[in-house]
Amino acid sequence: MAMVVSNVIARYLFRSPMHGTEEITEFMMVALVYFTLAHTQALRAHISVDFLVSRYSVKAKLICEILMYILGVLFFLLISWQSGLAAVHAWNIKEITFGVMPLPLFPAKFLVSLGSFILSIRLILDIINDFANLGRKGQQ
Amino acid sequence: MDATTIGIAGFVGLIIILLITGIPVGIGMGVVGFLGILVMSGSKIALNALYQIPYSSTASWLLSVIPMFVLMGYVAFYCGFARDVFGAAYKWVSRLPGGLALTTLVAGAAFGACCGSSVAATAALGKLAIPEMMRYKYNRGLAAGTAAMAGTLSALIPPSILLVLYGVVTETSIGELLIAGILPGLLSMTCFALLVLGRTMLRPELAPRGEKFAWSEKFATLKNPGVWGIIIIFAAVVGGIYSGIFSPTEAGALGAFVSIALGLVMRRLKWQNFKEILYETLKTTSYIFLIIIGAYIFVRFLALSRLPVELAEWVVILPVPRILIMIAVIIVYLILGCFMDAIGLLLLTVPFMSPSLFALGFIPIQLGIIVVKMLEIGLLTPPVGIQAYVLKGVAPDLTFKDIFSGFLPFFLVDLFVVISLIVAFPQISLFLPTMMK
Repeated sequence: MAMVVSNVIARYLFRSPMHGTEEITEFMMVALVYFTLAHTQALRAHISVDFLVSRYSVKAKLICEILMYILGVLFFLLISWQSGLAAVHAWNIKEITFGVMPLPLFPAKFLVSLGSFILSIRLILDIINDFANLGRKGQQ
Repeated sequence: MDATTIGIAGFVGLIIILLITGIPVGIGMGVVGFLGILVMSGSKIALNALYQIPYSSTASWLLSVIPMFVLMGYVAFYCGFARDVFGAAYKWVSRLPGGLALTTLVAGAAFGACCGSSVAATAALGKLAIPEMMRYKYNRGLAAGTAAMAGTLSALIPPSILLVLYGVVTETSIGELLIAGILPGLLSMTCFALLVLGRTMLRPELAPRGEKFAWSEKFATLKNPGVWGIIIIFAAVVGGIYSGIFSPTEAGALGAFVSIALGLVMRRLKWQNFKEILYETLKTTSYIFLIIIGAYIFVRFLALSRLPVELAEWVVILPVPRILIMIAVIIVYLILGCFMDAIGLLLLTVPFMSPSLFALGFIPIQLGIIVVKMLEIGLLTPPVGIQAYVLKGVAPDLTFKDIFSGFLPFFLVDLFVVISLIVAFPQISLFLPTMMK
């Protein structure tokens, strides 16, 4: 996944002043962000305010995390669903970018949907993991 | 409940939720924004926000400058540009009282010219400067304080990620904002340097003097490839924006390109490093954009609640001088800065309060500089001073007591001298941008 996106950055860098640069850049931005969201979550590198949470007991911390990740899953499934609709709509009406170079918009919108869906799955995996940890903690 | 009440409830609720659950800031803002719109305008409009915003907030030509600035910073970090400027600055100022501390500050300003994030700059400089200062038996607090403050200069001296974000949310010219950051950045450096000079002259035991270098050696530093590299990068980015040859987005892409080209020419950039640079860039871009997506949803909610507008109308007729309101804003940032990171705090507060301050006649560019200064102070203040953790990471010998007590004098000077000057004299922020036109 990282390689796909590094490729994107590399191509983006060697951009030349041609028509459609802005449109292509915008597409690349979508790809860049939505391909990496889930991976960043896997590394737990998303920024949060852990000033109070770091003082909780391990159990409270896990429960808190499970609850907020459930919220996160619902939220990103909603985004995925809605963006999916947007992508289908873009496909049906053959929506294209404004400007000199007409580019179809549905791939970018589809990526938003896909990226959000993968992030939801990542969060579900994290929730399962947290439950496992909670169970292990309970046995001790 | 009317819309404004829901707006206030959402805003306060969000801060509380972020604090007690530790939910990632972007997800928290998005969820609260979504629920707020749902309560206020119903499911159709709320779902519509999720239909548009996740795409429109990322597919942005303006915001594409952010990954480029991040990339530039990591290239500069991995190619050791910090070492070059540190070495060069050392030859020039080491003889002065507190020479190494001054070296760190000058190197910080120079490194700021190719790095847009203060956390990355502090890491790069701290790794070099703190062991050196320890070797010369500097006071630990002084060492930690200067390294952190030198890092914060990066957030003002272009490129600057925070100024770009401020420009996007307030619809202020990003080019002008970036140029505006130069003088306040240099002013901060000068004030910190005077503080170091003053303290070390009064108490020489804080910082033993360094070696003396001949003039020939001083001028030899001007041939240093890293110093040239930074001059070229800075000239490309700032010169391009200032003269209006290209937009900030193009300047960012060019800056990143030039940094990589220089890294290759100087044979510092290995494939292994480059992979790491790309990886770190992606990670950073990803977490910045999760916050941006959430923030756009939250901003849609705020706009629907009309809270910022109502607040502006209320603030304008308040019978208090506007300087008091500015002080109140600064205090709010001081408090929130203790708990939140800079990007989340910026995207949370600026859409909320900027309409009021603009209505009071504060100039968007000047306000941007003040906000960024306050966000930087927020990175220093305990309990969540990210800079302290960064320093602890690069110099494990330091204790948090050393670090935070070392921040204190700089913090006071920053707040009472630098920020007061920037508030009192808008020209400091506005001089260069007005020259552009």
